[in-house]
Amino acid sequence: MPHHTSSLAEPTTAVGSASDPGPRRLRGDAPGAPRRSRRTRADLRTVVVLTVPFLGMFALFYVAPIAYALWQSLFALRRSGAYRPAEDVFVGLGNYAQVLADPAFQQSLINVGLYAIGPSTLTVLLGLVIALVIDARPNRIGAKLARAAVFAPYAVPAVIGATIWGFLYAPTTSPFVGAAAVIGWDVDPLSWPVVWQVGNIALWTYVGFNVLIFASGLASIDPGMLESARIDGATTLRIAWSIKLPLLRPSIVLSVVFNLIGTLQLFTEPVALRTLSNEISSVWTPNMLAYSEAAANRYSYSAAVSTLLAVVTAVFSFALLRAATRSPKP
Amino acid sequence: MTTFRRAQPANATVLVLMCAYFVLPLWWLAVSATKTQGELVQDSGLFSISDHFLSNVADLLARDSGVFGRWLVNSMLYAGIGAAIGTVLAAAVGYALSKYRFPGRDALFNVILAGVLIPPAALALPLFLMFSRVGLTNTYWSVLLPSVVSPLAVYLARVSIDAAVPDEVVEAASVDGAGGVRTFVLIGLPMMGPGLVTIFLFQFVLIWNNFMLPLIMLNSSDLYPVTLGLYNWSGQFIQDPTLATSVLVGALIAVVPVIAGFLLLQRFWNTGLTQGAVKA
Amino acid sequence: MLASCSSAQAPSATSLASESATAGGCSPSSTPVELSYWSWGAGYADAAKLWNSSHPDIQVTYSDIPVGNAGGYQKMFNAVKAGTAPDIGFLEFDNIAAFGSQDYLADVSGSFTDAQKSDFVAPVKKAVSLGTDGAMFSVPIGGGPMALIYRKDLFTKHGIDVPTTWTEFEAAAAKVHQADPSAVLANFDGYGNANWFAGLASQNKAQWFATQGDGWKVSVNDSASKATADLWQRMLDAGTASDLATFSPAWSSALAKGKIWAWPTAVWGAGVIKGSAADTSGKWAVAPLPTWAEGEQVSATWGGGGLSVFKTSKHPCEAAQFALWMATSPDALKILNKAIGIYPTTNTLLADPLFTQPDPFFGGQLIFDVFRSASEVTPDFTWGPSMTDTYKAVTDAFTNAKTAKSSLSAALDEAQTTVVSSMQKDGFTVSQ
Repeated sequence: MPHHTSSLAEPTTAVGSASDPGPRRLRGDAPGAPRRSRRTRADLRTVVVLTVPFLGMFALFYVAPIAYALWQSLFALRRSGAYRPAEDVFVGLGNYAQVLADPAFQQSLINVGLYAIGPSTLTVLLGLVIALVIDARPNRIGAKLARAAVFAPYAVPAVIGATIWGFLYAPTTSPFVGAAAVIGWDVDPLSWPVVWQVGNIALWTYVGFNVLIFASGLASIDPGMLESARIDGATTLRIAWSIKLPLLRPSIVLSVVFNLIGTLQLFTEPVALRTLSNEISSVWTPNMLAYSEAAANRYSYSAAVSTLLAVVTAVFSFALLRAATRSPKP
Repeated sequence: MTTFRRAQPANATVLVLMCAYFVLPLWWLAVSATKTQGELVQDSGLFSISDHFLSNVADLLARDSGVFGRWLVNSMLYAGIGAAIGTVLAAAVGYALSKYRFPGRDALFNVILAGVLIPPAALALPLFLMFSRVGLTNTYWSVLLPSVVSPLAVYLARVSIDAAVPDEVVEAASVDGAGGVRTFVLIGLPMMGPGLVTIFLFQFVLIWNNFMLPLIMLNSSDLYPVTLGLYNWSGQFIQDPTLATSVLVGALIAVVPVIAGFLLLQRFWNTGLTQGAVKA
Repeated sequence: MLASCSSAQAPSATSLASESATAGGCSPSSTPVELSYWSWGAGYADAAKLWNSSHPDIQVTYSDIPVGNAGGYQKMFNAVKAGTAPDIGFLEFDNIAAFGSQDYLADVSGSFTDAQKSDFVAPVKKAVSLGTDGAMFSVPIGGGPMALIYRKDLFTKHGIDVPTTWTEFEAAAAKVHQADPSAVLANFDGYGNANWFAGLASQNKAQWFATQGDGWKVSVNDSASKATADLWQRMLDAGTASDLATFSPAWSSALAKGKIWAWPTAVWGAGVIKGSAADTSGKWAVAPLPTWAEGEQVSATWGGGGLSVFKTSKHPCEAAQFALWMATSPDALKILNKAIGIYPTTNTLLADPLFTQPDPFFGGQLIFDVFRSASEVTPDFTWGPSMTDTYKAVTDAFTNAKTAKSSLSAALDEAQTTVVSSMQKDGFTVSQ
């Protein structure tokens, strides 16, 4: 029995795809209301079955905690004696005012800010460069090995990465420092700015992920375009700069947004490095501050820090996506 | 393809340097795992391979009544099951978002996307308080259940399905009278193929590396994933400095299978990518 | 009153431990009891197992948690808040007030006889009383009296006298650095161990906390603490003290390679050195901690702690007995001392043969004589209601000072501000 395709989605244009939008479809013009509503009902049932499991979990484990945190952030602790237990009292937005004025919070924002400008940017740049270099000769053994090598650290949990680098930073346990000393080069990683000590670990771990993003973007470039450019005599460098880069713009945006989110939420690397280093305070990033406050039983204050952090992250990410995406969001 | 001689050595040098930067620390880890703690503090060079690897592993596995083996199993549980369930759930939603038009579809997608921007700290602590109200903290569920939800996976799934599962196929199936869910399971999922593997791998790594959630939820060290366990040990050098060796050997053992898995499955996620699973 | 709790019958219990005690307000259970016990560090699990084998009616389940100030205490706080607190938890002496101030701990003094209670060393009894004479909010298991562990061979080789005052210590540091520019006399442990610093400051008569009516008086930056900070700052500036992360592999490596010649540390530090720098056996010795005034008899403490019974425990009687056994049983001591170098806090156990043997690692010295004397002259120090927070404030301030290259004593001012505002955030009334 023929059914009209009444409720299929418009094929979407994925961000930055070089393909065209595809043929238009008839929609909702099926003759005979009963057949259409039966189709629609069946479709709606399908949609419900497909989405409810995820949405149920999402509501429980994403939405509910956020609502709880928001609620919790409107209270604060008050106590009535030197050895008496404390009680929660409603203070509206009082916690937020305190957080914004808190020098620890301000310093933590500065730290992640420096981190965003420095290591985070370098992660994107390095990912880009490596992806382009590999893409210049994607099928050679060298490229394959390079891809594997670059991506291997991604499989290493941050805790382990920080442990390894903790050893590699300290002069008494680092082979690199020893090797450098042999050629007369006095290098002391422990005297680098802390942002870079931490940043190097994340760089090492996440460049591979960025290479992946760019590699897929590069893979969707029409080879014909590249071939004709070569025939025209363009050098590899020129092709990379004038053709690949512009087409990679959406990938770059994606990469920057992911890195930004990761930077603002930085927690594991500095926490793990603390056991081996003296330069990282317990409130070095906003997330660490939130955790530290929670550890001190100031749950409400911690909730305010987390909420503020979430808001800042959301604002920056949406602004970036807005400003940089040319095609409509998927 | 013509070769460009000038670019070649530069390319090669860059690649070699980069590979060294990424691989040497892992090589160092492997070499260090062969040394005793005494040897390590005296000489932690890159090429001084010692012969205590097996005894180090034996010590590691025996430490604290064999808790390390337990940690490995736990990590596999959390990441394997969590990613498996999460991938299916995300694929289902991605499919619905991609192939069906319904009121609130775009709003829903945006809400889910917004979830990507939520920092773990904002969730972990309220989750802990919620779980403690029902007495489920310090259980496998307390880490597994929240890990299953991944808005990022939904995004990846939607993009992957857009590219890999043509609308015509779904239409044809409905013309033939197949139900929507059946179509999804019997046609959509298989067509996603490499895309599914990619999503699974990413979620696997995300859960495997997740640190803050288990840190807050778990008290009993036999529920710890390997990341939390090793971190715990790192904080105990004050008790026992020889823990450093166990931490390193444990790190090596924890890392090698995942890297190997990634490399072996490279085929899949490479295809998954060009399919548009991580569409730029 | 109800019949006394059946007392701990350890396989070779001393007569003290086997006396039964009148239960002061707790009622023993007539049915088998299961207790949960949280701690960190090796040995406790085995000790609990030993108790279980001889106490079928009181079975203890041990859970390993992170080190207190690194998350262990937070887990306990979270658990209490969530209603899932263990029966017994290990608390370091400096953190008893944190839990006591929230009224989370039970006073177990009523479960013990006077003889049992007076067996504990006096300063330690005071530390667990939280200001109430005779109360015991913790059963002390291990003490942390401090002394100076140093490389006797290097001192002798370079003609350096063992310093008896901090002035001499500073001078010796300069001599060490001169003898070997790549070495230092000691490492400044304060960046990661504020309690180490607190101990040294307390030796200089610092007082960080005092209760004042319903509130607290805070003076983390008092002149004694600043003087202590200045001393180490001078040495750091001159390069005669190092700034490695204590207990890290880099630090172990420095010890093993003879780049750190001395360590002002607690009794358990002896075990740490043995583990970190096994190859330097025979080269170390122990001397009393240098003092601020010539001829003074005062040491300091670092760490040490005991088992506390949480008020939410359904079996405080049995919990108290288990805690007492852990603190007084020679068999438990054997296990704990071997595993983590526990140094007991009861006169009976302090006389155990374990502590009267010459130690070859220390050139045959009877090192525990030094620590025993030290344990008798540890200074009075009131701990605040949230030491984990306070320590964090101090180490953060020190860390910031290191990055910003400003002074440690200025950092104490920063710490003071943070501590005061934290306590106010916690709802305490604070004066300075």
